[in-house]
Amino acid sequence: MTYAVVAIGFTLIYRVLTAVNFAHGEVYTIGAFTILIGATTLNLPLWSIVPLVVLAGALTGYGIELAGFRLFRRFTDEASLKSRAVREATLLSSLALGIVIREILDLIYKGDWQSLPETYQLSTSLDLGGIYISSGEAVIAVVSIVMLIALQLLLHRTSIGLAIRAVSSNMIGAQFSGININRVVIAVFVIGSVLGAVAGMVVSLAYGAIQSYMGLTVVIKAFVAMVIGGLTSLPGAAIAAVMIGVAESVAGIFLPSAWTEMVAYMLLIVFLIFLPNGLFGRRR
Amino acid sequence: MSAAPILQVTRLAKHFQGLRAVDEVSFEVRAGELVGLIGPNGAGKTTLFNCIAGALAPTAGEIVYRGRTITGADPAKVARMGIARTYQNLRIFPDVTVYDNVSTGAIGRFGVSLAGAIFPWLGRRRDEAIAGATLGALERFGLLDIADEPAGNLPYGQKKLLEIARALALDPKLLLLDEPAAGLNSNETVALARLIRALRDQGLTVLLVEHDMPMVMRVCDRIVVLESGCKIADADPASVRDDPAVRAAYLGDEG
Repeated sequence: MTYAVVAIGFTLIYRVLTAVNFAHGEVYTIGAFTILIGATTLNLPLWSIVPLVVLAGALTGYGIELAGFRLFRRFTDEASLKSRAVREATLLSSLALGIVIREILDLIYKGDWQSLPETYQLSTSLDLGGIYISSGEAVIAVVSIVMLIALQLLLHRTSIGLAIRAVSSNMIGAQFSGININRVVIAVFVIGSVLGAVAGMVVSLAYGAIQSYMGLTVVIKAFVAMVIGGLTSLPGAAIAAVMIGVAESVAGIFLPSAWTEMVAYMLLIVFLIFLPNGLFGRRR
Repeated sequence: MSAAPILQVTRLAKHFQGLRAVDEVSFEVRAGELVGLIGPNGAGKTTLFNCIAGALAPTAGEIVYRGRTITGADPAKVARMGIARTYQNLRIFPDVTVYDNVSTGAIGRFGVSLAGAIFPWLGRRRDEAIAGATLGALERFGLLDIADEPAGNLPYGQKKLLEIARALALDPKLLLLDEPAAGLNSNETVALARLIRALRDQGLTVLLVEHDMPMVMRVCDRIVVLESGCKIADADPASVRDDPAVRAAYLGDEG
């Protein structure tokens, strides 16, 4: 489920800018570390850390857009907005930003797994008619579904959602409708990154373990989910992400745990061979 | 015809690596006028348009709109200042409904905010203004019945109308139309001419690039003729038709 939330933020940014944001995983990590710092260093109660996580996610998203993407949108004509050069440049710049954030956290926390104090962990066992899940996993599921629905409502029921869809549909046309592209792009990064940070938060609440590299595998899974889902489809990415998650846990029953990491990539290969447009991709 | 100029273009030039696409062109458009901009292919009409709308930064020269210099301003800002445009190649949003397409114009005009989306009470007045402007534009163009269709499903003629409707939702003072009749059949062209004329009669200033000569001659108050980036005529339709330089350069055997 968390893959879904991360994948959605990732796909949202891709859909609007046709650019891959590889720093997205670090937003997830930052969400987790905000919880850790709030709980251990600042000793805040959980309810007051949640808005901090949202804020940290929003600020990180804004920072990534300014440092990694804005610089490469200097030219406003169509050819340069869609050019390969811009896509490749932002791919590398976001990758670089991700590395910088990751290494800074690594430097401070020495790359060790940090554990969240027991009192913050959501690990009570819930009985759902014979199926036992931990309260943390229930929270992950509920928060994920709520955020996916909230995002759909935002995109389809509000004026900023329309502006986002307009920019993603035709950036030049949107510009001539008087839409301030930079503001819309900022909004996209803020929304996507809040989703990512909240995902990092609920996962660390559920499992209690936080580490500076935790975002890396998640962002790669999000990328795989986006490709399987059809590159530009948010529901596609969400479904693909859930698929990957389920496949991984099923594989965990039969395979040694080190092998489960392979499952996502095997799915990716299968899809690229048999359904190269993804689940909901448009033919191109 | 003594109205104040709404747009003044002074010695505007745009060079593309030695190609003088627009070469020191000066003209003005007065408030309430319907001005045609014509010329053979490659004369620099669309380049000139792009410079005015902010899509291209001119090499030299100045563009003044309602007393303010807008040379090289960013297109979204130009649009919000009241210059709306349509495209030769459509720029509608195909996967978005007709209603929402027009709505983007109104959004451009009233702005958007993330806060307004999260806390609806902050954005309510703005949302109402956007809905009002959208419905008005849809009604005027007879697009209300198909408001919920995805724009990509419309026939070509209606896509063209949709684009003009979106431009009007911005409530522009100056409307730039880039070949609105291209690809339309003769009935649609006549209807479009009537519509453009009606817009002008309601006080909108229009600058029209068009290849359909009878239409330009019929609707425009004044015609500016470009050839190879230079202005070769600037007069009322009848004089332009009889101008020997224009006939030689452009109308040729058509005249």
